[in-house]
Amino acid sequence: MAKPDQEIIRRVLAGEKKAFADLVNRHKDKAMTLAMRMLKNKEDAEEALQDAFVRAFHALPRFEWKASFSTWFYRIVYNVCATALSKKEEAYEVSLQDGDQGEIEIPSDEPTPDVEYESTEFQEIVTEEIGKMPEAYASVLTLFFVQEMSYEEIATVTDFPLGTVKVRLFRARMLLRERIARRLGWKKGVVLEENQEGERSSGA
Amino acid sequence: MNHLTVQQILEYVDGTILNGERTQVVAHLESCPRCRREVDLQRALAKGVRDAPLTRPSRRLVDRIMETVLPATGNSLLRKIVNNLGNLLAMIVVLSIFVYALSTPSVWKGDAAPSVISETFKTYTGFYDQVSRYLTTESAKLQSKGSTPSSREGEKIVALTIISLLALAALDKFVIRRVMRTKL
Repeated sequence: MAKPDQEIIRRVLAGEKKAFADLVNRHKDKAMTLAMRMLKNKEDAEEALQDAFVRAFHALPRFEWKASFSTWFYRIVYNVCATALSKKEEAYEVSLQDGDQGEIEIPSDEPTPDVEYESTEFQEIVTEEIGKMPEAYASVLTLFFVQEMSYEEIATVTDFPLGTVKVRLFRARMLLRERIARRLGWKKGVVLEENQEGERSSGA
Repeated sequence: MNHLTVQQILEYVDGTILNGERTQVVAHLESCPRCRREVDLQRALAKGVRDAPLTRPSRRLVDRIMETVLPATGNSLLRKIVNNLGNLLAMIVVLSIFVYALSTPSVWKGDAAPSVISETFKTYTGFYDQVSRYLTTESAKLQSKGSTPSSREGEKIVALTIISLLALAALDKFVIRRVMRTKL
């Protein structure tokens, strides 16, 4: 557990309740990002975030130190957002199929040579596309890349089986790739164009 | 030539690929520009997601959270006034009526032509005068059964008093405090 979190929690439990503000300040931006990507609305996200922090405060005495504070806390954030989504009946139903991440070769659309991945434009496009993704995918992407959680931690936060987390993250990355390709207008590779059967066969 | 699978590329980019497989992937990338381009792309996407700007909450979020978990601490004088605004308004209304009554004795004597305000005030003070008399008489009639005209009138007065207080409390809680909370 990050030492700062541990020390702050100790102070809060010892009676220095105002120290909880330090914990809020440490986690509010990343937690807000997760909430925003799930709820797609700033007011709803902020309300959910406030609710999550208040719940975390009252649950602190029951925190058992088995997992890191961030994993425990983001589970609260995720559940609050998921509840809010279910009330809005806007949850995106993701159907998972077996073999979704099987032996899939790289897609046929190839990056054009002039794509500058370090450019501000590319970053803006990626940021924009993440914001548009269904919450089921945006949430796992955020937990994996922003909160830098492992598959196991994400499974703890979302209460999904480990296999589901892996498949969902895989599909999220493929969906993001597909949308970026569409935005940048990448052409399909020569290999697939010549292969009229469109099978994922080997090609040179 | 067989290309790498997406899964292999992602694991390679994430650094989670097993050592044995990693050797094969590295060897393949040395001779396959297409897979190299895909690795570069997936690395760029991962970096893009990681570096995407965080959504920052409003500045008052921390204050609101702390006010919720610590309602009695850190309240400014202004906040205390706002929280009790409904009570303050009720007190001002009652006091102003009494001050008006005391400063215009002619209203009671009937010397002046009754204005709307004085008529309203007479009704208002008459209402509480009746409540007082009702409570006094009823206390001596604790054993009485059945409903008499005077007791029915008293019941009406008590009901009106309770309803007035509830309406005032509801106005304070659901209107005044909510408006002040969103504005401050």
